[in-house]
Amino acid sequence: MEIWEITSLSLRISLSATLLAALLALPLGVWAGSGQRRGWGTWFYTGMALPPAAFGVLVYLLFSRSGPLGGIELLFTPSAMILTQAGLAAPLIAGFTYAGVVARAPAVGELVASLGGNQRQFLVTLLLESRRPVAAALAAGFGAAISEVGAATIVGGDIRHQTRVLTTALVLETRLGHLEMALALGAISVGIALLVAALLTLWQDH
Amino acid sequence: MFARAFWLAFLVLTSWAGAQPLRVAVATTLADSGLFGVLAEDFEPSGGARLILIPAGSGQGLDMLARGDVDAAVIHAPGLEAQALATGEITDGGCFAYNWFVIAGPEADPARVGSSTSIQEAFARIANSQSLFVSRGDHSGTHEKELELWRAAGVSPRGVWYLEVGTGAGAALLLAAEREAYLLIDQGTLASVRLRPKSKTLYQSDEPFILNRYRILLNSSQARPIAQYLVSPAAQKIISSFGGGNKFFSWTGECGDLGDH
Repeated sequence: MEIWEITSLSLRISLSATLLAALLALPLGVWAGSGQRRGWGTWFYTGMALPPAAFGVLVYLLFSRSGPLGGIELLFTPSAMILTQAGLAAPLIAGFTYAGVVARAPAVGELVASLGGNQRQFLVTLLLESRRPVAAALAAGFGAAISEVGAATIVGGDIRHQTRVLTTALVLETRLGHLEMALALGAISVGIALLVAALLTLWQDH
Repeated sequence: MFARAFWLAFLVLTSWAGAQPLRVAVATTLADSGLFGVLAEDFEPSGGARLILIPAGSGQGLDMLARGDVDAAVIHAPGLEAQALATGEITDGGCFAYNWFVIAGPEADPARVGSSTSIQEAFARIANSQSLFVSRGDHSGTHEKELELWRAAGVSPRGVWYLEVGTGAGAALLLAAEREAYLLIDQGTLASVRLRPKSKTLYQSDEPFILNRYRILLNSSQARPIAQYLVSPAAQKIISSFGGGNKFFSWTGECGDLGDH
């Protein structure tokens, strides 16, 4: 059924985007936080307020046929949507990780130094001690990715069977006056978020 | 106590948004081309009421009108208009502009739409060659007309070449240009949206079948002034000269029955 097609595409796009963003943003957040690099923190927090639609237009221009990367024909494909969502999730993941790490770094640093540990052991211990903020960071990143609609429409085009995801379908159903269907799509979104949040909670307390 | 404080805070914080303006749902073609924005700017100082324009496909505009979420709806879907007027709860504000639907597409014209002798033949050629086609897929006036044309061509469009998008006219046009796809659009909107990769007008004719006429429907007498304004000489002059002319044309008479194609 179409609603499962849409749900599964949403999940695949947003999970891929969150993983992609985490690959870059988690190490960056730990690096900035452990070294007390407050300037980086400011940039992460600024990135959290990046208007998704503005970022969407940027990606659009980049991949447009008349743009610098037009040759690879990525516009209006799920891949372009993954890249866009990853770009929006990255500042959230980096920022939350930074905030959690920067608060713990002095205490963990003292502890590891008193036990004669080296820099590598310091970073590993710091990351382990920061499991909860990292879980919060991933939840925020995934949340931003799957709930975003402006950039998803600009970059994906809301093409049926190809790039229509939960949020863009929700907007369309609202426009068509199918408000019950729109609510149902919203409920599925919340259900997915609950599932992801439950998994992250299990992991952080593990 | 807390609820009352919250309500008070809400009222204070929203008071700047001002009092009751007229809300008008506007077909996305008229919104995206910019014509209705120009008309609204001309209307507001003379007519007094402030207008809030909500871009909405014809189907959605009628839904909003029926629910009472807007005071007027500008639409261009004769079939839907007739249905809505038949309910008796909505009043006719009259017709005020028209132009023609055209087929736009890639310069190379792989389906040879340009040499078709009728709009039905053009649609059949697109389907037969399985060339990419962007459908609005949203019950807008343009989408209703498109479905009518597929029926007339004896085709039920399906397959990977048929891209149903859920966006407005402008966004669908951008997508078609990027993907080198065909689409049905009215000449005014096509000429008004600035495209970087170009879409070209490939099929154009004055068959009555593809006449595209705009009508305003009302659900409150408060909205009457905007309907009267639209057929005034001032508004008609703006319509026929919009964007250098030749995009939209003046219409002041009876709407005529276009609903039975």
